[in-house]
Amino acid sequence: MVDEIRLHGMGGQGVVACGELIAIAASYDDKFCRAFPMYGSARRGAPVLAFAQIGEESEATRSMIYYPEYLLVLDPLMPEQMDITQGLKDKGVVIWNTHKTPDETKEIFKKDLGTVGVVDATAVAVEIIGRPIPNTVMLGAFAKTTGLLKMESIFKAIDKRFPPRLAEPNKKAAQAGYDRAVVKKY
Amino acid sequence: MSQDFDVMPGNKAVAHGVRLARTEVVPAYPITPQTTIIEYLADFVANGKLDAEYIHTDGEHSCMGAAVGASMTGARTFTATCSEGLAYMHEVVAQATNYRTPLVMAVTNRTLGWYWALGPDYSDVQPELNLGWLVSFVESNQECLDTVLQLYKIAEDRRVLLPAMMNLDGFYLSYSHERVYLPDQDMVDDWLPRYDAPYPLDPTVNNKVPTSILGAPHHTTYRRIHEEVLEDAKQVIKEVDQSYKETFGRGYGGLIEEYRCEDTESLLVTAGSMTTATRRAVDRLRDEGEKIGLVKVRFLRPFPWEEFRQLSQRVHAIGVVDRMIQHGTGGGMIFNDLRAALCNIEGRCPVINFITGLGGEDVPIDDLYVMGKKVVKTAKTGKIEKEVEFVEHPAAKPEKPIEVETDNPIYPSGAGCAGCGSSIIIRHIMDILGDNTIVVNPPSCSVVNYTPVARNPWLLANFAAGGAYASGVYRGLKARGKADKVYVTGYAGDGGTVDIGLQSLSGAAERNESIMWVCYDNEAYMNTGIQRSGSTPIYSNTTSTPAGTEWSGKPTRRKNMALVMAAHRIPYIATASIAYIPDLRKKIKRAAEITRNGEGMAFIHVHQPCTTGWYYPPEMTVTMGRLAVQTGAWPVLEIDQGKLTLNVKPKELKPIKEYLDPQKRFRHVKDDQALRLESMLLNDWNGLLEMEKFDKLPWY
Repeated sequence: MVDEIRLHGMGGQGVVACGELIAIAASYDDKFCRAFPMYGSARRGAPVLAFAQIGEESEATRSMIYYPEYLLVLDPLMPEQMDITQGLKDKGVVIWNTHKTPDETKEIFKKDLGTVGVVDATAVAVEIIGRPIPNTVMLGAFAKTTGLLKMESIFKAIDKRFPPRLAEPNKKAAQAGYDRAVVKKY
Repeated sequence: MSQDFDVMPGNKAVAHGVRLARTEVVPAYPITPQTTIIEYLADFVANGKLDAEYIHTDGEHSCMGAAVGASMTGARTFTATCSEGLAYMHEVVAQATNYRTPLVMAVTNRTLGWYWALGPDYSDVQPELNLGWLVSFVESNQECLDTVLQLYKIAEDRRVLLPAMMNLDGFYLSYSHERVYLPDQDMVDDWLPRYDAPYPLDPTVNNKVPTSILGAPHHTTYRRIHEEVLEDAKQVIKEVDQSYKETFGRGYGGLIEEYRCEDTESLLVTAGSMTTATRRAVDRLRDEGEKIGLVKVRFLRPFPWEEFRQLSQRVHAIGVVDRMIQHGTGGGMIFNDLRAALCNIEGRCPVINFITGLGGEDVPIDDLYVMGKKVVKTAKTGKIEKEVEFVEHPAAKPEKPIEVETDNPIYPSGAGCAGCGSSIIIRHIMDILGDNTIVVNPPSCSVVNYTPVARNPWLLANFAAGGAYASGVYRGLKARGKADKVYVTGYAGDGGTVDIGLQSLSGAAERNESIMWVCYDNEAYMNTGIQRSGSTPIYSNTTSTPAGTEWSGKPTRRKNMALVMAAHRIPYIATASIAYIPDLRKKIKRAAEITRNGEGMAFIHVHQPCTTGWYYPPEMTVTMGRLAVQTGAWPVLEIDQGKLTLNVKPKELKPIKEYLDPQKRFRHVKDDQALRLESMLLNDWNGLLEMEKFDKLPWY
């Protein structure tokens, strides 16, 4: 099986870049990887949707994602404003940028979740990077919650994607995301 | 053989292939989902990473014309398009074979014509298959890059000298990120030396002239020779793939790629990105003990008929998965060729066909598994249950529509950007013209955003034929005695007016059709992601004229469209701005009067600031419009029966910086460039003041 991840957020939170970073990191683990943003006209002020696939090269597909196992939610408010769980597999995994607890998260998502990882990623990003862009913090939380990516691969991906000036704080942010994420299995 | 890799979309992999090939000329015209290929290439050229002539053409027909011309001189040439754009090129695509131009074209497949879908099927490439090109299909982003390099080597081989086309599925490859290994430039240079044209169109080195016209008695012979060249190309394709594999470590099997075919009794045949899912379906069937394999068609032209004849002797059934139906033949694109290739041989196996994935619909593993099952069953029984099957997924019934009561000509939920100037223009046009109005709209962001929510008939015209569509609708109504009862108005962007739409519009103007044409000018191709048009102002940073180390935005000035239209002597021409609504309304009313009276054509060119493409805050749309007028960047005028009047006359033009500074598209503009622009605009303004003194423009 190829692991399928759907990313939700708003413009400016680095949703598309986050999907790409997952794909880049997976490529360092010598895995098949694929990331794609939601197709359609990029209208301003609209929610942003992106997808990522990770798997063994021998399991690759180039199909759409309908039933993700993982939701990576970069926006702290969105899950309470709209249903973003369409197609999420039973016992699916949610990683959410929030100050709420995993139990509170499970309540809000109204789904039979298998694992929940939470971290107040925007606050961590402001503290470490100096800007409220939560995507790299969420990568660390994603790695801890899912075990799908190695942190060293995430660091290499950040080095690849960012200029050195931005890479260092973002790597710290990813590490903080890993360290501070609270993960609970159900 | 360590190679650097990066994770990138298919379109970028194509662009890297073009860069590594040291391509010398790139004619370009944007169309979704090809656009980012030409954007990445523009970025390479703008920043000195590719030393190429980049030609911003005015439409696909011109684009392929430029490509053929450039290739004939011996320059390595690349272009890209798809769908409607490829169809519009068609005539020149045919000509490219006559001239034996080894240019390479990427086709990011997208549905052609059929209700304007954006997703990929092969309806766009199908009409191009039999013109004499090499036609290949790729499965992955890596194969995009590798195939661009291979195609140059094949096409430029003296045994071939033919143009080559690479099909990559739009969206599934074009916009999806995957790992791609980048070959070393020195190795590519060694493997793919500069193109050495045998007879370049260059009188300084070659005294032979190209054959343009050939008498009929030669045609059959020349076609036979062309066919032999295509057959000979098969050997070159295999050699090049082998040599590429030895040099760069990756090969794709030449004409076809076999997967798990060793001891197989049945076969699935595919092309393009759905091949990967088919591999997984074959894996699943193999796990269940079924003897099934997969053949990926890499080259559909020349068609690998020998390979398939041999395969058909080895297996008991073949199932072709086709992403295109050839209407009227009852079969799919690859199926028909394959069936024909086998028809005269002994001991051929049954061939069945699945038509699926049309309009870009995903072809999931589960479906491919079921198709595989059916092929296995056919192999076992030797009986064809259904020769051609459409694999369909009927859409769920739509929910009950929501009733909306509104007097507004546009219903709520239009998909335009916050701060969209176009919706303002549409509301005023429709408010004045009323319900008995037919809007003809060539492709543009407004057709995407507002057609679904418009109350009156809103007709999508082909990009290069807007003026003709409007003429036809008008004449049809006229023939039925309705000319003075229904307004026919074109509503087009700057591309559909001043570039690709110009010929058709000019024809309508010269015939003086009693139609209205409103151009909403946001100064670039916004619908495809902000590429420059013929109406983009000088210095403007767009995705196809990026400001870089070598480029400073668009290098040339925009067309003066009002005067182009005035040269046609049509009765009414106006420019307008969304910042001057009473003036705009007055002009729409005057245009309506003229067309209703059958006096001829009225053209209104409305300046429409675009928050998304000009990079200013959405609440500043009207302010930007006003500043354009007050700085002289957009003079507001009308030419009524030849009499030119400036309708908004600032006492003194404001400094252009006031207009440029809030827009990030001009962020790189230096002070001396701004001053130069200011003096050009002042010069224009003074010229208009002079023209205003005439009772009539002299040629009216």
